[in-house]
Amino acid sequence: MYISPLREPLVTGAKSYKQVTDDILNPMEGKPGKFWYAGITLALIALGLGGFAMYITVWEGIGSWNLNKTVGWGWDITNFVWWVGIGHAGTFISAILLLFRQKWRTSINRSAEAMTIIAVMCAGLFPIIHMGRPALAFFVLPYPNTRELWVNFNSPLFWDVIAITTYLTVSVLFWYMGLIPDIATVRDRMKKGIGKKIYGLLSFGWTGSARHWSRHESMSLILAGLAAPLVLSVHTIVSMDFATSVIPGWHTTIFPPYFVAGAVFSGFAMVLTLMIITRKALNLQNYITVGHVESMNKVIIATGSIVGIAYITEFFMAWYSGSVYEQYAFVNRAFGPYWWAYWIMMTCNVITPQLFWFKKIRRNLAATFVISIFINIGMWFERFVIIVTSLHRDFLPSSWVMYAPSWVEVSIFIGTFGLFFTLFFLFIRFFPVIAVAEIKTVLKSSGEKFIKKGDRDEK
Amino acid sequence: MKKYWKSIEEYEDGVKDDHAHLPNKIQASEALKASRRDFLKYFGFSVASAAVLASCERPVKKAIPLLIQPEEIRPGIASYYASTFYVGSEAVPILVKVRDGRPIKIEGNESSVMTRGGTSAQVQASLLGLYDESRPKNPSFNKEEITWDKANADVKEALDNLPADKTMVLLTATVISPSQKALIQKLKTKYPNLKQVTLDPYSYSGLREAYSDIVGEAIIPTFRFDKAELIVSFGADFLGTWLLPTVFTHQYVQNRKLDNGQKKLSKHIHFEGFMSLTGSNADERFVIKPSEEGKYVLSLYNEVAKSQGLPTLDKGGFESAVKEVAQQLLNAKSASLVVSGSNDKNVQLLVAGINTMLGAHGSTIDLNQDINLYQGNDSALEQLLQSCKQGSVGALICLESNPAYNMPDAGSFKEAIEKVGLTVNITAQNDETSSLCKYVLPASHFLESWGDAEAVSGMLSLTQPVIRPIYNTRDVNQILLNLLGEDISSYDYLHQHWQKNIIPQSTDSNPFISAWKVTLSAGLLSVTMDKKPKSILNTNLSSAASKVSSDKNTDGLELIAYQSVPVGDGKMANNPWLQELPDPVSRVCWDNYFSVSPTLADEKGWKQGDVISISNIELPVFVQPGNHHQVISVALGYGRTMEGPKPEVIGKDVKPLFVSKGTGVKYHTAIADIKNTGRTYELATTQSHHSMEGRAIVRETSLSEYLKDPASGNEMHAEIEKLHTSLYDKHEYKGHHWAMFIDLNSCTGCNACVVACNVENNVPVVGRNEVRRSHEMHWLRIDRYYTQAPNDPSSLRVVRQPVMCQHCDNAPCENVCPVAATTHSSEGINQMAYNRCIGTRYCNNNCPYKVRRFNWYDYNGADSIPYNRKDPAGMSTDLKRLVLNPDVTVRAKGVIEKCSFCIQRIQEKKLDAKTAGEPLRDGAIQTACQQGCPAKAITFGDMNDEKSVVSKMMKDPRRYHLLEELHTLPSVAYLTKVRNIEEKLNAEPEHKTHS
Repeated sequence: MYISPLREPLVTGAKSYKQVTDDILNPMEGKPGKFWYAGITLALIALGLGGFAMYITVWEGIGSWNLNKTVGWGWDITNFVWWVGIGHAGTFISAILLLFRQKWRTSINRSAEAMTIIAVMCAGLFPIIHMGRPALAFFVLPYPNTRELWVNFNSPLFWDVIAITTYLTVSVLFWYMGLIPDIATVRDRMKKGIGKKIYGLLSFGWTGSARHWSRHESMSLILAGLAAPLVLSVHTIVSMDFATSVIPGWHTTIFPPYFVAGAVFSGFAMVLTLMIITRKALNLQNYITVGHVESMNKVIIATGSIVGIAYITEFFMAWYSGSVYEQYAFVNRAFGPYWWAYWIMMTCNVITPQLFWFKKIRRNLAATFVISIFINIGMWFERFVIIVTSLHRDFLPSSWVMYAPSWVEVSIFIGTFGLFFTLFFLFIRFFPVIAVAEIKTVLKSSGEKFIKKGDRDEK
Repeated sequence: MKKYWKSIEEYEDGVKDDHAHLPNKIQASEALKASRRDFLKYFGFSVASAAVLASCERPVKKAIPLLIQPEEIRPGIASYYASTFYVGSEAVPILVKVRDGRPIKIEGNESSVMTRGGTSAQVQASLLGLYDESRPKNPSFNKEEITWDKANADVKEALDNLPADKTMVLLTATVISPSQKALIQKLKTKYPNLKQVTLDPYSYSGLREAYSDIVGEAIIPTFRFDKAELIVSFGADFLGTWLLPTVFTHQYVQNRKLDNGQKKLSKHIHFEGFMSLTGSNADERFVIKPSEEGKYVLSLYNEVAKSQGLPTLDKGGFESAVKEVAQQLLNAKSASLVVSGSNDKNVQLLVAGINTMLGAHGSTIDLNQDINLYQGNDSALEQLLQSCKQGSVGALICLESNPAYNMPDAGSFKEAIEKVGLTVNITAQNDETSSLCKYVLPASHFLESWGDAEAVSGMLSLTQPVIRPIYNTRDVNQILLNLLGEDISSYDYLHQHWQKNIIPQSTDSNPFISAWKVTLSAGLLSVTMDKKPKSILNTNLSSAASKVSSDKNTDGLELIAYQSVPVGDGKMANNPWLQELPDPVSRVCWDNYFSVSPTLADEKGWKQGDVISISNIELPVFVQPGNHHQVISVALGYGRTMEGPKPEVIGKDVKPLFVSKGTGVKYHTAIADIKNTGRTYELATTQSHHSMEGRAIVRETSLSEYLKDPASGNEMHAEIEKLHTSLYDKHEYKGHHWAMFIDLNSCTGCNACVVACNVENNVPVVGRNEVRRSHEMHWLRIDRYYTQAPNDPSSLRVVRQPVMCQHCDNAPCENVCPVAATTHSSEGINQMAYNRCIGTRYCNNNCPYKVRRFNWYDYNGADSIPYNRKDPAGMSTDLKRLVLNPDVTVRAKGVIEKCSFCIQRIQEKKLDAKTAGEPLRDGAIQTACQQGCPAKAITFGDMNDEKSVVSKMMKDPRRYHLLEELHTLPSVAYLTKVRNIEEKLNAEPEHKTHS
């Protein structure tokens, strides 16, 4: 395939296949460093705190949270939607970008997918823990039973269950499919011992034969085809939790595209946050280049602008609807007691990403890192604003209340960070963070060496 | 075995084995080949495992069935017994629902012409006092338990041996029981030096004294609010706490309803210094300082007198302000009624003078029928204190009067009682006086007692026990009989007393059944007494007028004490249902507080919850729109101990602030000493936002507009109905389709329905802290909104709206539940399957009315996790659980609950009708809130039944549904509020936010 010399190389440094393999696999073959131990210890402490808070929640009841008669969802569902949103980047990158033949995705898809899966796991925790009777969570599954009790197919929460479990399943499959050739590489590089056996088992006997590759490729395409609509459906359905309700501020038809854009927006921001650190820590600057960061920042501008337009559209619609409840809900968002949450959201989500129009900022790693953190915060507040400020003052002023989280709610959120980072640290320890096999496919077309020569791909 | 053939074919083919599918004999015999060893093995294992299992200890539960089943007790079917509620304040005829031997609900007695089945919050809640573990359980002497025999003998001996120069005092609450009065009379005969003194927790001494001047007898006449077209009240909270609020509410709403073609409303003008329940219902409200109340009355007197050409009295100074009121009174003439809540004899004299001039006596005031409540006399109490201190009292018997709390000057009573040799406290409660008395004789709760009552002369009712005394207690009559040394049970005594003294006076006699039995069954008996009709003496009011006009105006702040609707005089302060009942005006529960107007709060820089100290009583500030800007109001009845797992004193007793020497008790005073403490205290409130924000939540109009167009104020209803459209077919309700109507014009906001709902539906009490966190569980709440400017107290209007589950036919909650735990019944009821609920709270979020309640904690022990119960009020103890309604599930932690339209009552009446083979009669089903309502503001019925009352109400132009523009199609409907005011109300009044 001919690649224009004007194109930025996707892999810098004149790398051979061997070097690629070494660069990516070396970090996981040596002993973990001090930072890894420190990181996972911190993550485990956070996880422990979250576990304790969850124990309190289950034992004492949801009363240990500060939810009340009017605000039935607070940090729990805010965190849920936020984590689901985070979990959007991976599959977007690997499935949709695969279908659009965006080669730059090969450097980041593996870790983004891993992040997706972990984020969805964190997200999945909340719908269960927020239930008054989590032991009966299985009631939401349409399992056959002698009492002929069936789930309510009208309920968006049921759609959520289906959407999220499907998304998780397909994401895990897709991720694992891509991992198989790399696991085989790891297996082959190992001398002996239990590690080799385990990787051997996990690689499903991969030999790299043409037949294996052929099946792998077609399976990847099928899964990508399956996963692509899921990227859109998951957050569409999450948004329907709100959009199908009657609460002013929730009852909005633009929610599905608005939520999907927001999810990709926040997902990319989270990928950036993690990638900028990981590439440095694992010495992968040649593979995750500034060019990659810039590409992702472009996606962020696009989705961030969609989100910004959605915010303004909501306000316009509230005014245009002529409904006093709707109008009040939006005025209350911006100028009510939770005005600060609204303006944090506006600043972080609408204003800061617009800085990426400047190429200098777009290609500046430090700036990108800071802005990505801003976006993560802003997107969290977006969900908080939607959920809490809509609920706390709805139709009947007699029921209006305020809501602030209890330590238990905050701790559970911290706990999910603990879970996220514990699993992420384990991931970078035991699996290659970059898809070795996939990056090799672009090496000879988009690698620095080849672009400079103006060479064509051998085949 | 030989094989037989059944046909030739079979013989030829050979006999088929029909049992091929069964194990063949060989297999079977193999199986049977268990050896002796195997047998022993199996046997041994069985025995061993049986022994192991049997050795697990199981609690032994004894359930012994009755050998002879009593006729009227059928398991699972409730019996109702007529009785009377009386605990020192108002008296209400009741029916007690008894299920399987335990009283579980109190209803009003519908045969009473006074209440027509109405109750109050206190009546509903009084049931819980029966199951109060803190009650005295045995007689005691110096806090050591003794037997009844010993107690009786000792007290009798002490009384018999009392020196003749010492008096003995029987300090009672007002006795309205004829039989008890007779016993006290007997005691007086036996002990000539015995003196009875009556102590009321709230004094009406001034009213009685005034009438003693006017008719020559210290009576309280009956007031007929139902006959009054114009009611002018000077601080009399007759819908909330004044005299007979339940009766008065029933009377008052007769002229406030616009059903059955009624086109007239009574007019209610209220003068008061703070926002009371009654004041908030008034058509016109004058906000005055309590110290000026007398002068306003005097001014009104003068204006009325002037117009009638009668001599006027000293100037009151407010003649111009009340000119219009006087004019309206003169127009209404004898159909007007002026009342005053003042305890000042002179003010009451002037009020009676106005009523005399208008001819209200004999029309809206019946002098010949007295209210027997509140017989206390302030000066008699002061004398008692004096004589105790002088040491001339040898014995003090407190009979359900709790002087250590109820005395206006409880502090000096505590000193005085130390000088008394023999002190006896006869009480059903663990009260403050018990710790000061030598002997404590535990009286039974009124639900365990035989007794009678005559709250209004000629209207008698019986009190009968509905359960055997739970503790070693005796009813008051029995205790008095014991003191008299009479060997007779209280039942026999009561029966004899009635046969001899009361039944002969009654007119209706049935030859087949004794009047006693009829009365016992009905609970009520009216007798005609041939008393001389009272006439009005020509009283000179000039001295009263000069006293009133010479009262100095205080310039500064004034403090006014009132009884709150939930807690009242504090007699039932130890009642979690009442403590958690939000005050109908402030919507605060679990505390008392200093209410100040927003203007005063601004002026002083106080915010809600700032603790201030008035004469060393520290209470938090509550900002109350509608108060006079120089008036601070505070509720009486607090400062008593709430028992429970952690007993605590609720609020502060403010009575010491109102002690005045020689003039009787005045419930207002100038504030001399007021300080900021710098501390704050969070009040538990169930509503923090008080404006409707311009939304059409409560729709109202004025009478003049209503007469022009009955749909006035409700114009949007027709428009919205027109716009209703749906993609889906309307659901068909083939059988019943239940509906509820709430007449906002009748509802006074008394909160009886809220407690009735709590009792009926086992609604948990969550405690102060949980209410602060907005975790209260009430299925039914009464929303209260203010309209107009908060800074102009007299123009402030108050609207109230009871809100429960609206049972929407298009319910937003139903389609969002992932597990279909909340569904719609074929009769239009939105129902909850608690067992199915997993607690996502999605239904609650999506409910526009926010009527769904989540079980945040294990409030009642229904959860299976140990040691996590949150029951600060002690409502889940073994004894208190007896009050639970067995027809209603007790909900576990983590599930949503809400109003069910009392589905258990619907089901019961449907089954009754089915058993009887008759169609269900309209009105047979009464929800708990409907039944408890003294104003009959709630109507329940089948809108598929064309003849039902609700079907008629469906056509009422006043009908609207809450948030009907959402197309939720609620089954609950409201009728607009119509005020009797002249000016046109703004279609959209200017609402100002105050939160």
